[in-house]
Amino acid sequence: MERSPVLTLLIDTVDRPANAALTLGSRGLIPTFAEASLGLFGVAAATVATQLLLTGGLQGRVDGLSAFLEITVLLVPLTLMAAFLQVGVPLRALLGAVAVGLLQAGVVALTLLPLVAFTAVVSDLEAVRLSFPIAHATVVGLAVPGIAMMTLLERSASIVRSIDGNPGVARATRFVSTALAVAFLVRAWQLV
Amino acid sequence: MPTASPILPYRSEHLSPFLPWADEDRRLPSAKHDSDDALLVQLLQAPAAVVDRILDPARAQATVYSSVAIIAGASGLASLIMLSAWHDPHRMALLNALMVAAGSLGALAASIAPIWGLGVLRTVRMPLPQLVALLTSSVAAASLLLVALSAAPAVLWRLDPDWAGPLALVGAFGTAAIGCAVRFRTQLLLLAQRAGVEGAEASHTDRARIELFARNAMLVLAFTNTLAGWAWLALG
Repeated sequence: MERSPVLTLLIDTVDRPANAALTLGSRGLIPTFAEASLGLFGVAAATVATQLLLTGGLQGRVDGLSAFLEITVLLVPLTLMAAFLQVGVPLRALLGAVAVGLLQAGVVALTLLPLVAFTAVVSDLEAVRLSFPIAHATVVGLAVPGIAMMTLLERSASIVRSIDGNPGVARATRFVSTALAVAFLVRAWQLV
Repeated sequence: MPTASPILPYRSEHLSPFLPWADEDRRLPSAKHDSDDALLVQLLQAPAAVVDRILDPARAQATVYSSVAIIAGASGLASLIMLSAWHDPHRMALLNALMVAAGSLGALAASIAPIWGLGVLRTVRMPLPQLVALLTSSVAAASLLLVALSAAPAVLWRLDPDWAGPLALVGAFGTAAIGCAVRFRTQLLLLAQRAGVEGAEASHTDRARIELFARNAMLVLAFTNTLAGWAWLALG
């Protein structure tokens, strides 16, 4: 069966991330930005839908999403620094790795929605509401962008690791992604 | 098993074991640096390609001019990013950006003659055009690094304007300066390798003198480029 190139690229992004990052790197910046914004759209849609399902309104702002966006913006200077330190991945492929990570984060965030809907139905019971005094809307509302964040960090780091097999690079990517995950949690906690 | 690329260590990627894969699906396309990349990318990531440009008489002058433009633009941009954390960013923002750009160019201009003189001292005198090209390209790489590092003061200044913010500001300039020095050494050693192709191979003492010269020049560059942050402090 003949598949369209766009569909091939999307399936490759899910199944062969490192390959997709290198392909994006050789194709140029516009496909990279397109893929990144598609992923961002997925994460944003999932977060907003979660908030709507749980509280029936947006209540002014979506905190988890703004923490997600802030940490994602921090990935750009980190990419430049990695390029300066001469990681064995071309700069454009590094940006491609972030784009692939964002797309996968969007996919994962959207797949969480049925679970969120189920929680919203279940938590409407009187007994559940009495036994969970903390606002469980907050916890679930942060879990969706949180899991998306972990997907983004882990995927872009693992792409760098599979292209450059240097053990020092592996340690550095693990350290940076852990630090960014902690920063996300701290920031989300501050905002809520 | 596919052979490893001479430039990059090769590793295959993880694939889902539930899908049908051919053997070459595990192979990644080669990730060599493209020699036709833009100067901006080469400055940041590929010192060998920059040295090629410097040695090519047709492209050397253009490389110097565009490096100077990149230094001015990138350090101005970095100062704007750092300033975005202040309460009243519009006041004097442009003046500050101009002063930081002038500071970076001044640091570059101040370090050319001393480094040339140190070359005379170590009897590894370099032709002045080559030295200027080498210095401008490494300072340009450092100013691109400064753009990336300027995220740290921009974030930390919001969290703690008394200690973490100013320390991060000085730290960003200091780190960029050290990066500039390291990049200068890398490019100098590459240039020494290329320049020795026609004549006899560099002897042991030649290499030792080049290394000493590189270290002296690194000190000068780290000093002058850290002081490029002076322009920021001058405004108070």
